[in-house]
Amino acid sequence: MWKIMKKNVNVFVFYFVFVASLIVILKLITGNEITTAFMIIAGILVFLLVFASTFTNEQYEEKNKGYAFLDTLPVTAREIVEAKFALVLLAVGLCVGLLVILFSLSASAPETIAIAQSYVLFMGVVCLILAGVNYIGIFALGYTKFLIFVGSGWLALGFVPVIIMKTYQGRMDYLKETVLNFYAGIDWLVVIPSALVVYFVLMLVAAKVRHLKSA
Amino acid sequence: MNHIVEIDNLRKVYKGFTLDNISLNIPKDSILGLIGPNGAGKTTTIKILMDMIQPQSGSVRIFGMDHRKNIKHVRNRVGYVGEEQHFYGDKTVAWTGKFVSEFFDNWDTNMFQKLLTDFTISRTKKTKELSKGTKVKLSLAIALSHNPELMILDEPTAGLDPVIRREVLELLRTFPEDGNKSVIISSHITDDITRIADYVAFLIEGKIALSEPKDELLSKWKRIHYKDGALEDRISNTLTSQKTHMFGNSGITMDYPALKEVIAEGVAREEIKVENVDLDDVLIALVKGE
Repeated sequence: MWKIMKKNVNVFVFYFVFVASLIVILKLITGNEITTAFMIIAGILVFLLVFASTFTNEQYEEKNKGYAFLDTLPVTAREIVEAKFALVLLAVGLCVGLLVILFSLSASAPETIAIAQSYVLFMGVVCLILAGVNYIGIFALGYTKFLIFVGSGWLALGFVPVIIMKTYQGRMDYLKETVLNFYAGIDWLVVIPSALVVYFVLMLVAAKVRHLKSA
Repeated sequence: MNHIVEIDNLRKVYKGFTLDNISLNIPKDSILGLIGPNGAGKTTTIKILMDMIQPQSGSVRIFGMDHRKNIKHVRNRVGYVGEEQHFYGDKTVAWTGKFVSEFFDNWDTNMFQKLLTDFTISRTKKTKELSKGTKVKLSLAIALSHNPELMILDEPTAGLDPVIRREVLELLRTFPEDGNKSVIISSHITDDITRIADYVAFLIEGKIALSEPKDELLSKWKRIHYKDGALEDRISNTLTSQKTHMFGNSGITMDYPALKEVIAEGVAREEIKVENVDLDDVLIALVKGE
């Protein structure tokens, strides 16, 4: 699996160094306290790392007909998919891990730190699941076609904050409290293993889809 | 196990094309030429052998193993050159060699380096900068450098210049001489197959139209030229690819040994002439089905 992973690892390293640098710079700017802006940007950066690196790699595979090349080597379709999924897991783990450590080093109140850590873990889990779904989409439709779907999806997501603001107009404190309670209430001992199981299932589905598409 | 590849009743249905009940056995130490016009199903058959396409039914055994269940093992022992060569275009030849070497158990770096030198492939060139012919040679170098027991090549000589084409064919011709090694080569250039194959299989519209040892086939298939009245109707009616021209008539027999005695007198009187056919003639006769 490492043989395939290391082909793609450069892109992940590039984006990881980029994101990690931004996080550290952000931390230096925002100071020792965890601010809402820092939290939100950190979450977006986890997204950026996963999506940018995955899509860059898949664009590269499509451009070079990389899967056609790999299919001539002694490696199974499942091993190729496993390598892709393992790399995303590693990237998310490292990025979320870095943020969790940074948050724990801050001078904020322990409850704030716990919520911030819970938030980035949540973002990590969402990224993992979305990355899994992305791979299924890419293997089913091809990178270029899937990109059109994702583009439309992101466009639709742009309306979500507007809808939320409209829905909770005049009740922003209530919304904030609800969100904070949500993050504080997540049982990570249950959610992380469950997310990994879902991710594993998505990987199996992606491998199956890739195998069927090659037929 | 006398056969290195055993194909049994393969069937693959596409919209507008069906690969229908393909059965073939390829003996060890031999070269099989898979001949057919474009779109006959040669690439589909070869991709099924490499498990790049899954058939709807039928089975393939390579080295005595179910190839799909053992595809890693099979690919480890097979040198494959596809009809199109795909490499990571921004990577160099040296990188490509190093990358693929890690997947094969029996990779021979010295052989790879030697083949690059023999084929005059620059190690530092990016693969996207290589010509089509050089890409084929790089594919061939990769395929040969892990000591395969079976080479599977899909139209490897298409688009190659005559010099490189001859080099490639010569290399393949001598490949089984090491013992226990075989080659499956598909081509619509019958000259290539004539030059190197021991066995030929003609694939026409998704079906095996004919499969025989090449020399046996060419000894049975002959073109008969005859003057009007020199051949009995019952014989001339069995000939295919019949032509009538100002010098007389001609047609191809698929069973010359059975005719030899019967037409001996006509041959002696020079009213009948027997001419060897080439695989092109056989292919055309099979395609036209006359």
